Amino acid sequence: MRKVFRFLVRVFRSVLFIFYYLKELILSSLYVAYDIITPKDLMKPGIVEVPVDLKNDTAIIAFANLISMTPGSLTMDMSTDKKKIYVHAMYLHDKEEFIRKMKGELERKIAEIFE
Amino acid sequence: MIEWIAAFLLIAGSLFMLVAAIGVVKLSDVYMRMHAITKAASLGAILMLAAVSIIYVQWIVWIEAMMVVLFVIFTAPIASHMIAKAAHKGGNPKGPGYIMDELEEKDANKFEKEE
Amino acid sequence: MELQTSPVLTFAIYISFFSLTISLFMGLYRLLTGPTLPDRIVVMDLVASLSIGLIITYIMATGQTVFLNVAVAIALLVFMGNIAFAKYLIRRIKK
Repeated sequence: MRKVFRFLVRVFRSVLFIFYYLKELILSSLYVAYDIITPKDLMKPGIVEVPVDLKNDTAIIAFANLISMTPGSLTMDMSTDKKKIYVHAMYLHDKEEFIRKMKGELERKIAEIFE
Repeated sequence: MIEWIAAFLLIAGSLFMLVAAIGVVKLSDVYMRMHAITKAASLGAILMLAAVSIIYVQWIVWIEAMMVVLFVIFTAPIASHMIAKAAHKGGNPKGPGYIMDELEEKDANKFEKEE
Repeated sequence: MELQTSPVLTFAIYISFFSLTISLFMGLYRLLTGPTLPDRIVVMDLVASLSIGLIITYIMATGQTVFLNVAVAIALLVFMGNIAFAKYLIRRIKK
């Protein structure tokens, strides 16, 4: 009984995750469209390494995909020991703040769902 | 009423694709172009599929539209991540204005060990 | 082409065809002038999305929902193509 309950909770959380993912996709597409249409040369791109604390492989893949879907960031590579993800950011004003946003918001959400 | 919604979705989707194409022409290097492709073009395809499944109320259309949406939203980030990794490893020229690149050290050090 | 839909939808279909065609020409420009190979691979990804869009607009114009199968096939094949190109790029660097 408890197993069934846990399974149902997991399914429910996965559905919630898909909706969150779609929301992020819509938001980031609007951001990208705005950036492309308005002419400005103030872009500050950069490639940052973000530390990862997740253990599960599925969770890491979901985290990488979610990073690609958030506004202004794109996953590029991962270190061989699965401890760091290299992220390309479009507007990199403050590195610490960027890392804090990735860790605080997205990784917590992934850890709630997959672990 | 339904036709108005479908017309709106169709126009919005094609405009997102147009924005992605403008981004491919206008942005300055491969990684930035990949931002445009991964987000705007995927959202365009999803919106147009929503228009089709609103107009044609059939099970088979809904199932196939659902399949395309799932493929697109889960494989587009992975594909762009693979291409970006390979391009960076090959020393693809970066555009102006980069403020940091932390992936370069990794590519320089572990070139032989990986794959 | 004879469209069998309401005027609103017909207008939307014309707009959609127009903007998708312009996007195809923009992709062609990047394909011809792209300085390196990854630029051209990015164009392949764009053209796949555009052809999914074109197929959907065609379905809306004619009512032949069978062509949605083609969209499924394209969405699968482009992923395979991207992975293959990435492998090829990495192998080309090593030599």
